[in-house]
Amino acid sequence: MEDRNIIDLFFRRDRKAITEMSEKYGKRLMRIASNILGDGRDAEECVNDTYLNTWNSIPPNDPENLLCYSAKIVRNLAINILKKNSAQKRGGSNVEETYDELSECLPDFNMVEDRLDEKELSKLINVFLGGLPKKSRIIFVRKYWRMDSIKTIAADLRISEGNVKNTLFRTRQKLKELLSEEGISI
Amino acid sequence: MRNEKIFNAMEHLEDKYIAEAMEEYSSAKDMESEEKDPVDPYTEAVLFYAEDNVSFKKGRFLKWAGLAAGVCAVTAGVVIMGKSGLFEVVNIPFVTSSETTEVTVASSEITEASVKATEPEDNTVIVSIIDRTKTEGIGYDDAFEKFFEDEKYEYYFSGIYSQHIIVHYEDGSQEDIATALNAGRATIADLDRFEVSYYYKILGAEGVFLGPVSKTETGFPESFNAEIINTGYGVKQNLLNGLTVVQGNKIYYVVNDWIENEFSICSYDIEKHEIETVSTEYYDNAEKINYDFIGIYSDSLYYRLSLYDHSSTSTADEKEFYCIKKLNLSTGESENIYSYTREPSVYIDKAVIIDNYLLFEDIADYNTTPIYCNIVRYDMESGNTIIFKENASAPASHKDKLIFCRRQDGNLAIYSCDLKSGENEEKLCDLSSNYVYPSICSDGEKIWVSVLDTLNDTFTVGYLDENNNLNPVKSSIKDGFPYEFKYANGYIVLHDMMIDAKSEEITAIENVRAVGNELYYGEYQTKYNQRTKEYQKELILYHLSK
Repeated sequence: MEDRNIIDLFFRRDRKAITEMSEKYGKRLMRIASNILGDGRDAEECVNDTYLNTWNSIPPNDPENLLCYSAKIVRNLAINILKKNSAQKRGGSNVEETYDELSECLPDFNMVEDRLDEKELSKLINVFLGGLPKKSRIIFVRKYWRMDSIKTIAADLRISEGNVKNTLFRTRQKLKELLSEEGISI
Repeated sequence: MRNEKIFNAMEHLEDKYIAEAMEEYSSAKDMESEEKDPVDPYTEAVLFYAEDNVSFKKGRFLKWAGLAAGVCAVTAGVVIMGKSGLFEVVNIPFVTSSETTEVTVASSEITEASVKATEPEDNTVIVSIIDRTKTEGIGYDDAFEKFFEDEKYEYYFSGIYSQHIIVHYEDGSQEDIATALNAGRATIADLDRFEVSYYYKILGAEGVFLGPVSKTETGFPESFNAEIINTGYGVKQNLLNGLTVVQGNKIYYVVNDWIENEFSICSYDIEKHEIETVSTEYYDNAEKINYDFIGIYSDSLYYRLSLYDHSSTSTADEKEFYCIKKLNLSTGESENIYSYTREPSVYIDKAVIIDNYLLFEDIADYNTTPIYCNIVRYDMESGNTIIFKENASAPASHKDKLIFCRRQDGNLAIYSCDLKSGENEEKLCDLSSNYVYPSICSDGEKIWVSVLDTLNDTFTVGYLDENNNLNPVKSSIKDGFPYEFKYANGYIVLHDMMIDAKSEEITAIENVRAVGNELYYGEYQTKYNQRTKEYQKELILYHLSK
């Protein structure tokens, strides 16, 4: 079923909307949750909560892209659960590791740290992504937003793990260069 | 809290980028299909340099009009060399990794279309080629199926499944590969592009099959200074045996042309960017051939040649042939300097050049368990050959000593002696009687050893500590033999890993070669050739440095 039709079902408060959404995007949402929380009950609950949140938010929201919309919800929910689990010291995940890797891109200047707030950083990253070749951009977002493993990205895109690693490495280097330049000029 | 900052910033990515990453792609090409046509590699390289503010003086283009005489399917191409700081990348025209395979041909007629939803429009673009035997696990009969032929080759799948190789077009139509090829809507290059494996052989030839394409990409360790420059066009139907030896500015390597049974040793001049064929040999009916380069001394390249010829016309003696050859790099003339009486160890490089001596092991008696070896010494000045050490193997130099292995009373032991005279033998340590296939190299400080443990079927790599006890660094279940066991630039290089000689840190990586004291890494990549509109394979070579 087309996204538009599923969203129409949400607007009509037809519970079939959840079934259709689950059938169409359930696996992909589950993967994001699993990437962040690991396989298990937490991830399943997180995906179920995503359906509920989507149900509660459409309407009034009328997303253009249902997958993107629900992916953001599942990611946020998963991260919240992760933070809660971390506070309760309930095991770790690869998220910290992933962001350690990415945070290496940030210039190591206290001044920049203070001045470059999250909004500006977010804006810079979006601008940066816009200038990347599509393949590099997809690999970057899959790794650092979807939290996909290198192995998964390679398998999905049918390229070698080495290729993925190389692309990520070069992209991080470029981001680091950009942030260094911007940080100094801000 | 840098981590938290970037963590939060990533939450605000624009929807379009998230949507893009959430899509499912059937291939890397599919992912790129919405982009503009690939930029001409010339332009792309120029832009690459311009963008990265790298001095363009260091990059240079050179058109080359063929790798070697007789090399098939050479298209005009470019080789670009780049140097930036510690990094150096060398591109060598490629080659698909192909092995000849003994097969029984069960040729069938070229398959007719069996999957055709709608007739594809003229000039419609191929979006993907899907192998349904893999994606859907569809079964098929095991027999070679001929699915296409062109003016030069016949193409086969290793099973009867051409009807399951489906070409998808931009206009939504689809058809099987044989139909698409025969209608000219697809080319063999499209199969390469979408990584569909196939075999091929010269038109009308019997027996020898080539292919399928082998994927060997592994990625280089990020801690190294190395970067890819997008260059070079491939040479189809040849096998490049990777980087071998370096002398001055020249890299020597082997190009095998199985179609013409032509085997060439080529040089690539890093400074002048010139490829030269130094020598060409022809071995008809060669089924398998190995060139193991040992090193260069006084303008001559020494290498071991292993030839396996199982054709029906060969006599028993001609079936397998092993020798060490000396190739004069100036004249291109070569001569056999040593013929092995029996098959040498083809797995581990156990030859070493020490001053004007070439030392290597030769198996003296196959009928003993373990096999009885001698170390032979060839004087590269006088041409004299002597048995330097009896009952000894795995020669290596360490400081002013020759290190080698010897088996006595069933146990393997490591010995040292004077490098040149061979006198003053001293046993350094005893190893387990289970150990076979020893190989030794030195990092200048420590003596490194690799052995196969026949009891546990594991390979152990380690070094001798201050008390000359073997200190294992890595033991792994035997998975092939360590074709490479050499030291260069701080690393012990094996066929599937490299070990930092100081920190003992292990990096899992294939295709790294130790040459002299330098490390090189080869990566196979598929590149788009704007001119021929084809995807071609090339070997990109990295000079690795910390």
